[in-house]
Formats: sequence, C-alpha cells, structure tokens
Amino acid sequence: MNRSSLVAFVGFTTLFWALSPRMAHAQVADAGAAAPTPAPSLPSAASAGVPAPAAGATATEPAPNEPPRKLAPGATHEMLVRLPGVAARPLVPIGKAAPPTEAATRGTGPVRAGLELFAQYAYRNTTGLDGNNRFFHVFDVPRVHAAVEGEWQTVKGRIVVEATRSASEGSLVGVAGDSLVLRVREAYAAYRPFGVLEISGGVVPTLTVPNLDGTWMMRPVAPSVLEANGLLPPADVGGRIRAEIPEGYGFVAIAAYNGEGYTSRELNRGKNVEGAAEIHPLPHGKLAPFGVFGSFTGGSTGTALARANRLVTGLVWQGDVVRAGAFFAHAWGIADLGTARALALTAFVRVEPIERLYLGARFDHVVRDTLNDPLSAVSSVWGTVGYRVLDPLEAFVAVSRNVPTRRAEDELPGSNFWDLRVVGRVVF
Amino acid sequence: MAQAARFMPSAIAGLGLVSLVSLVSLASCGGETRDAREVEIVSTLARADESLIRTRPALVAGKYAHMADGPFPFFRGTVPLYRHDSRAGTAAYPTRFGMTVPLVPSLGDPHPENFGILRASDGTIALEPNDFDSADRAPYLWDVRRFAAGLALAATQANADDPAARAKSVADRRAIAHAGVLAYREAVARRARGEVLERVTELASPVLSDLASRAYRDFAARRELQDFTVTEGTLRRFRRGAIDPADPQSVLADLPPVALDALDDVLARYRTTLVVKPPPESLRVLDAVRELGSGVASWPRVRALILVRGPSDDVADDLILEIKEISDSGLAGLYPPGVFADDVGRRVVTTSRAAWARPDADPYWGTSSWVGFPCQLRLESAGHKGIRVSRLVGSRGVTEALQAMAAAMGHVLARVHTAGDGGVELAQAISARIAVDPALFVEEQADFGASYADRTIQDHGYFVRALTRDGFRLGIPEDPTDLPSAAVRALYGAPPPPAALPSLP
Repeated sequence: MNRSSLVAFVGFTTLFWALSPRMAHAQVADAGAAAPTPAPSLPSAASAGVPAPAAGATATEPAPNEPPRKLAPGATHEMLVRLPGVAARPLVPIGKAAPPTEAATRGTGPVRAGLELFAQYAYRNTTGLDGNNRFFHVFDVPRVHAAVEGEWQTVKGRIVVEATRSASEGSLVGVAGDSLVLRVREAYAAYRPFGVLEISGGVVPTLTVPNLDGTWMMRPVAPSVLEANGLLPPADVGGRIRAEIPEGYGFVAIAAYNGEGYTSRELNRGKNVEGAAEIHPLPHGKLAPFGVFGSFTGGSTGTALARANRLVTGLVWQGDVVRAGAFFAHAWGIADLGTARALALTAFVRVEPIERLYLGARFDHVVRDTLNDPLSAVSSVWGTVGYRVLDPLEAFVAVSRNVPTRRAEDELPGSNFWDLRVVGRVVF
Repeated sequence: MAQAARFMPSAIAGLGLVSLVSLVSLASCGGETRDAREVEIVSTLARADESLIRTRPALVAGKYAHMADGPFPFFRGTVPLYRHDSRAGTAAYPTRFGMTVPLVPSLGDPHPENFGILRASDGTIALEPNDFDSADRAPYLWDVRRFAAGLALAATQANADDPAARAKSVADRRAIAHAGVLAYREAVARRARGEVLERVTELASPVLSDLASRAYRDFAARRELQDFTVTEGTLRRFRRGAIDPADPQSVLADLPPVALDALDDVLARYRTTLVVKPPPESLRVLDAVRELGSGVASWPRVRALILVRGPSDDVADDLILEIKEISDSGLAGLYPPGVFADDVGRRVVTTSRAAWARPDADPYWGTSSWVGFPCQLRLESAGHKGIRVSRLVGSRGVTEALQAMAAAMGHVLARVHTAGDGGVELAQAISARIAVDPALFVEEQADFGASYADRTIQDHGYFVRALTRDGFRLGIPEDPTDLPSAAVRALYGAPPPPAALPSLP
C-alpha cells in the first residue's frame, strides 16, 4: 500500500468514524420503537418500513392481497427475506445493491441452504484481423453455486461453493480430465454487534464488484467490467466492516484483503485495503434509488508487490422498475506492471416494464494502456431480454458485440466478436 | 444504550484491526524502490512457476540459476514473460500483419536451440524442431516473432570467445532475424502455391554441417552409451553421480523403487503411441536413473533415463530412452477456444508428428504416463544434436553462417505452420496477410526481433538482480504444507546446490 492508499484509507476511516455515533443513536431509537426486539441484528418489519403480512397468512404462503414485495427505503435485503409469512420470491432491493451471490439468501429459518445456477448456450462469431470469420458454440454452466447460511442471534456464517473447471483456462492438466470441481467462493463468519454494523472475516465478498453486479442485477448476462477485465475480484480472503447508514442513506465500508482474489493464495506481505461508500442523499422520496458510489482500493499484487490501486466512482439508480448505473474506474498498476494505467467506463440499465419481463443494456469501454500509443482499448455492448418464468427461474437472451482497437486486437486475438447467449438462471 | 455500548468496542476493534493491517502493509513495502519492469518480471515468473516453487523448490533453484547464467538461457525459460508481454497491453508492439484466425500448428517456442538433427527410422538425418513443450495452436505471428527474437538474441550471444566477432554479430542481429523471416515468407508463399516444403537434409552451411558431422560421428560411436553407462560383464548399467566434471549440475541418481517398478507399464503404453512399433521385448527395462540438471524451462520437471534391451541381448545395441514429465504448453488457453487436444500427451504427439517432415523423424518419440505424471519419451542419442548458441563461434559465428542457419529454420517453421491436410489453405491465409506489404512484413518482424532481444538482455539483468534480492523462490512464501509426500519427493530427487549467481550485469 502506498501513500495515496493510506490517505484514502484514512479518509474512509474518518468518514466511518464520524458516522458511527449517529448509527448508534438511530439504532437505539429503532429498537425502542419496535420493542420488544428479539434479535438486534434483525430489525423488525415495522421498523424497516415493510408492510406486515396479512392476518392469518401461513408461514409459507403470501397474503392474498400482498403488495409487490419491494424493499422500502432503508430496509436491508435480509429484513425482507426473513419476514414470516412471505414466500421466497425474486427481490429487487430499492436503494441498494442485491447480494453478490444469492444462493441461500431467500429462505427462512436460522439455517438456510440454497443454490444458484446459470446454464447457457453460447454462440460466438469471431472476426480475425484479415476479416476471416470463425464461429464456436458451446453449452456451459458459468455459475454453479451451492450455499449454506446460518444465523444465531448476532452471529452469522455463510459458505458458498462454486463449480469451476479443474484445469485453469486452456490447461490440459486437470482433475479427471478437466472436470468441474468445487471450490470456495465465500466462507465467512460475521458478527453484528449492532443492527447496522457487520464485521465479517474469511473469504468475503469485496465491496466494489458486488455493488456493480448487484445494481445491474443482470449477472447471468455478464460480470462487471471490473471483474471481466481483472481489475478487481468479486471476493477475497480478509475481513471487512460494513455499516448501513440508517434511514436508507447508504452504507460505508472498509476492508482488508490478501489482494490476490479468492482464487489465489497470498503472494506478498502487502495487504489490500478497500474503502467504499454509497450515499443516497434523498432516501425518503421518489429519488430514493439515486445514489453516489465511490471506492478506493490500495494494494499490491504478485510476489514483488506490484502496485494495484483502483479508484471507482459512479452514479446509481437502484429502483424496482429501473436499475441503472454509470461507473468510472481508474487503475494504477495493471498485470503486474505497477507503472501502467488503465481506465474503464461502464453504463448499464435494467428495466422491468411489466412484471416478470426484463430489458437490459450495457456499454463498457476499457482503455488498457493510457500511457502508450497507439490506443489499446476494447468497447463492448450488450442487449438482453429476460423473463422470470417462475419465481426461482429466469431466462435471458443476450447479444453482445466486442470491438477492440487494432492494437488491442493484436494483444487480445479473438477479442473482435459478437455472441449470442441463451441463459437460464435458477436461484433458491 | 446497551446495544450502543456493544457497538463501540466492536467498531473500535474492527477499525483497529484494519488500521494495523494497513500499517503493517505499508511498512512491508519499505522505502526501497524497484524498477517497475523488474517487478513485472518477478511477478510474472513467480506466478507462472508458483506450483513448482512451492513443491520442488530445489529444482526451481537450479532452473533459475541456469537462467541467470546468460540472456539466452533466460530467454529459453521465459515463455510466460513473452506471453505476458504479448498480451498485457503494457508494451506496444503494433503489427500490420496480425491474423487471429485461422490458428496454425505452432511450436510455441521456436528459438534456435529448439531445432536440431533428428534421425528417422530409415537412418537419414534432417534438421527438425526437437522440443514441443510449448507446441499448440496459435496465430502464426506468435511463432514468427518469438523466432525472430530468438535469432537476434542468439546473434548477440554468439562469438563469446572473440570480442570483435561478437561486436559484429551484435550489430548484425537484425539482419540475421531478417534472413530467418525472409525464408519463412518465401516458404509460405511456395506452400500457398501448392508446393511441398522439403525436409531439410541439405546441411552444407557451417552451422548445419557442424551439426551433421557430429551427429554422424556420435550416431556411429553410440556416444551416449559411453557417456552414461558402464558394462559389467555381460550387463550394462547407468553410471551414478556427476556425469561431466565440467557440469556439476548434471547428475544421474537412483530412482525410488515405486517409480522403477512402474516403468514396464509406462513403456507398454508408450509403445502404442509410436509410428513404428518396436518388438515389445526390445523395450525390456535393464536399468533406469533419475536425470537432474537438464533442459532449461523443463529443468524442474521429472526426467529420467531408461536403459532398454534394444534389438538383441547384445549390450552393444542397448538403447537409452529419455522420459520427461510434460505439462501444458505456454500458450494454453490463450486463443479461443483454448483447448486443442484431449490431453497433454496427445498434444505433444499430434504437434510433433505434424511438425516434422515425416512422422517418424524420431521413431522413438512417444508419450505415456508415469506414476501420475504425463510424460514424453524419446531416444536419448548423442547423435541427436541440437543447435547450441555456445557453439556459434569461429566460422559458425560469422553473419553469413548465422543467416544461413536462420534461413533453414525459417523454412522449417513455415513447413510446421502449413502442415497437414489443410496446410495449403493455411499458407494461403498467411500469404494473404503478408501480401499487405511483403517487404514491410519482414522488416517489421526483424525490428521486433532485435528490439525484443535487446529487451531480453536488459530483462536478464533485472532477473539476476531479483534473484539476488528475493532468492530462488522469487518471493513465494514458504509453507511446509506445500511439500509433497515422501514418495513424490524421492522421485523429484536431491539436486546439487544451484550454481552461484553471476555478478550483476
């Protein structure tokens, strides 16, 4: 971590600290209004502003006239999914990002198990530098997650295992050929000493990538620009502290990780520190979905501590019908070269114009090297239509086009393509 | 209030922990600054070799010490760095001749020392590629540029015994790379017209004639039997210990019994992969030893020599086979769809047979598996002479000789790229790309070769500096749980301590 990282970290810490007393007071007020409160970590539905279930509703069936289940401003995802009498349904949290991995987040009870699966058919047509075209098509399962999550009073644990090819990309040396094998994606223990504050350690979701994914809520279509380009991982080994700002004003969080991502072992003594905040300035009206996001990751990678700092800023609209975001990322240190610079821009929108139907679009632009000519950049655009067939089942048809500059195509052969994908997603 | 009281110490503890981590992290960075390229080299190589460093650190130390010995061994051991440089977007190497598809049969690492003399089943010899550790499918330019860089670098390292001649070959490094690429271009053009590219049996130039004459001599003398074995009565067995007093790293050692016992099955499977299958009894194992200190990139891999019966019980016709652990190519996963063979053995067999002018260029070249390791077997013969930069001296180190060598290898590389049933179509695709500006194509690749050679020399200095600073683990942390079982450690063997590092260039 270099000096700029430390300054940013101190800034986040100060912000976090300044907000702490307010959190404490707010939570005390909530607790008093909703007394008796059985578990401080799980605010009651009333305190969260979520309509209570109708009288007579069973534990598994929604009330007949239950309104659309959208999260109220300030409510957390966990608040809604654990309401008694509410069946599991896809959730659209207002004013916040959806969880980065959703398996086992929709059930009820102290111990929950779940899964999330993407199954897809992908057709890709690649154009060579000389105009030659080649196609390749493949069935795949880009995400297979199984999760168990348990909670007792103020303590929570969560484990997510995911399937991955046993050999690394393109390798011929794997387990029983190149079988799909399981690895740990998340494994953390969390403690909530106070309702809005969670301290967690283990293999934890990072702060920035999950926010992008959870804002768009179209992860089956594409990972975030940061993850897809190797700028930041979605999870890492370390610990984090996250505090929800009461009344839906957003969150602040800080975290420290090994810095090599959840797929690799630590290679150096440096630790990455990430600070992030999302502020929703008007959480009580129609502008509740609007927020400003910022994060800074100061860190290093590789055995020789190559710098890997990332600054990400963005605007979000995390509504129930419309979810959109525009983010800008500046990276210092790319692919083990600490002096390299890169930029990434992404803008996306997801609309649910009628219930169950999703329309999505996204544009990414990545400048892989800002210091040398000619320009090495890749632009990508996606368009997608999705439909929630049944509550746990969604289907998407997505088309994307990837256009590199000439230099980028030299460096990334095969990056000039369009593809068509049909994706099914099941999540419990 | 009770909750608030619980909150405060927890928050303080959490923030304190993160602050502590941050400060320790900051302190660990130290005040010493390192060149960004040095950091990039160390990180790239450490990442590529991490599993080997963790599980066979002594063998990796030998490899790195050998790579530190000079820019050319460094180049041989740094396909991952070449891959990184080609791909990372952190160094601009623009080209007007890139072609993503079709992918061609690729050697992956076509530097001069990966070419040499092979003797076919009919006893004739030819110049052929002799290393397929990195062979795979790739855009043609991957090979052409690596080839040009290898030629230019070889020129800078030739004539080690003659400063004036060295200065001349350094100055002519671009011209030597140019000759190789020009021959490549011409051969591809011929192939595109439907011609068959010949097997290189015309070995008249100084470098190739030296190879051929020594090959004939050592094939006839069965020099490998003299070097590696002793006869005791009517039995032949391997020597043990250091083989060459001038090379203390080259050692033959006993194999663990479990590995020795597995060899009969290894050879039975190996036999099925051969083009010309010898009688099973000719592959009866007489002795076997672990071979340490051979190769460069493959130095840490398990390698052994197997003495087999040969055509008769006469000790004079015993054969030595080399068995070597093989792994993924350096290009693995680089180009979509990323996988072009069912397993490592099939990758090596298919690429080698396609690359050679005839599939039995070395009739004993095959694959098998050995106690869980995929492996390659080939005839260990002193007659299989490979080009060595250290021998590019005297008449073999003059510019014309190096250009002739480069041209012959350029021809072979073109033949590899346009091999197989679809070879003419591949040649036409490459030719069409080159036709954008044929003269510029050669100039551009020669420029790249000279530039990358210069960069490699500089990188070698960074590498030596990094080894001095970080040690042979390149900063990979030690963890006792990484070490394999005792049986596997026995197979890895106990190499001699690595050679001393050279002084900083």
